Amino acid sequence: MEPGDIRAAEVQAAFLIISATESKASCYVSLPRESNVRFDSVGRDDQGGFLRTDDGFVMRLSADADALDDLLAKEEVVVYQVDEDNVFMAEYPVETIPCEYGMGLSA
Amino acid sequence: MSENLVVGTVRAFRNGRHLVVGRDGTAMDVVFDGEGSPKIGGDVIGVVTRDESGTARMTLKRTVTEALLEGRSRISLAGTRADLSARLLAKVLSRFRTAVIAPGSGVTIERSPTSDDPDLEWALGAFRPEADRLAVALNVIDVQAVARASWKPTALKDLTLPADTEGNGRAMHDLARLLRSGFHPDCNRMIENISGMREISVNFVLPYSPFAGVTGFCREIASMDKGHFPLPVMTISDARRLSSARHVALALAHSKLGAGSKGQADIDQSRRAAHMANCFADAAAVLAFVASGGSVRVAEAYADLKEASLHFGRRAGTSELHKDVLGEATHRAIRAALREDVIARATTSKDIVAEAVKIARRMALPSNRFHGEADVASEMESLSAKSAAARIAFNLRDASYADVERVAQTYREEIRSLVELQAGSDQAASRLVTFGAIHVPLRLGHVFDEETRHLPTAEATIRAQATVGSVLADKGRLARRLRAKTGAPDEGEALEFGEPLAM
Repeated sequence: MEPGDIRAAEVQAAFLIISATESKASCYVSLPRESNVRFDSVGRDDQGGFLRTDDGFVMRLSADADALDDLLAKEEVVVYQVDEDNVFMAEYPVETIPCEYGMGLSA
Repeated sequence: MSENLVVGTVRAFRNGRHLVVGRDGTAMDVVFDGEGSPKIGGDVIGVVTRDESGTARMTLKRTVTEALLEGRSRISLAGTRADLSARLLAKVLSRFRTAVIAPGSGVTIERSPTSDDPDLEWALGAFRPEADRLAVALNVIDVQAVARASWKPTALKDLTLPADTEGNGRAMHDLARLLRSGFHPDCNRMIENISGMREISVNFVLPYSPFAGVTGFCREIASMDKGHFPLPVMTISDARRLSSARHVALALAHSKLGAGSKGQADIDQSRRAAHMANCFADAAAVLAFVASGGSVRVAEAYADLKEASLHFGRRAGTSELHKDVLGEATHRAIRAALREDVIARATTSKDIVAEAVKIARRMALPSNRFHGEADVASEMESLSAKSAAARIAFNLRDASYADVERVAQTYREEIRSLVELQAGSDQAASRLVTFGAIHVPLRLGHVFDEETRHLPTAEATIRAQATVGSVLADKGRLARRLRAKTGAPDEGEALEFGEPLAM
């Protein structure tokens, strides 16, 4: 994949844990062990929620709108990455992008 | 006392305190609670509280998730494969403690370590310490929240369960079946084969039916037909507590009834094993009930109801019992638990569970009672069950009009209480009309109709819900939601370029 190459794939298994009281949330995402993906932001554009790497690779989150509102209103979102056997691989914070319209990711 | 979750790095040690710098650059001097403290340069996740002297005290957590799940949280599946997401979620939640789960808005789950439902919270409180000690993560469903939530019996697949680790939707299918049948209480377990080891865990506990009331609860326990009206003097709260405690205790049975201290018992493998688990759960439930000030008379009536099931649960014209009736006949265990010396010993969660294990092993019926195609009650048991039935049930079929009217007054008060309890929600009220009708005794249908006549029906509630089209047509909804969540100023308060400033 070249830098700047914008592609979109769908995350098959993921869930969000959004605290009702804390200003933090966590996003668990399951990806193949060999994928070597590390996200740097979580956000929403005109097609819904996404996780994005620094070179523009996008993975779609199919969370409902209200949950995304809550997630993206948090100060800090921590991504927990697990492999297809649910073995823990990595944990890191990501930037939140509450609303990013007009990116035309599908183009 | 306010709490604050901090993720940061230990930068220094000064004046007996550690300097922790958060990821946003804020620094604070903290004293670490608990054993050991992290080294300088180490990353930490912890909950910070201020003590009386104003000192910041940090309790370390393994992960942000651990800290988030200690309070109320909302869980949303965000993958395209709901089954894989649910499996991943179940794996994560199985490492955490007992919690109450309820449907949230959209396809989300509200998870909370405690419940707002006093009867459910009481039952959880009675067994939570033991569940935590045994590392059994109980996912107890907040039935009141489910009763109020928007779902249609025909479209229950939209509801999401956090514990379907099997990934084949069995737990979801079971829950849907139970909800469609009027929230029939249950403890749903699963067995997972991991590297040749059988690992049993709890999918969910549905503690009681919010629409059953005392009549429905007693009729269910005693396998009573509609021609009889149960007489035990117990409140709706008593019935809910006994049912909740029984099903929460049932979720501990596989951990407590195994051979050896660490073995798990596959209590669904045989009718006898299931019977022993029932004996354990009922003994534990009445011990917890009495230990918290519940009436011994109510507990004795519970034993009578169980015994009467051997009378009401017979197949018509034969001595054979209906399926599971003998397995649920736990009256001997309940009465053993109500002995004064046992009650005196069973004061803590651990003691209650320990006593219940001893009682279940001693009082459960022998294996040979469960060998045949169909279970039968012995002659002695049948006679005793008949007399228990006479103590706890009133025959409506042969009763005079005046006697039926007297019973009708009791029933009317119970239905009024149920209507009041569900009054805050049209959804719950309409479900009371639908599912409450299952438990209406013979000759008392008019009472139920009169007391629920003013409540909305399921059809009316569905009609009143917003349509997809009306939601999509509201273009400003997303913008309003974002402003509300992020605390951004409202349209009226926003200052736009070119707007003249008021002088």
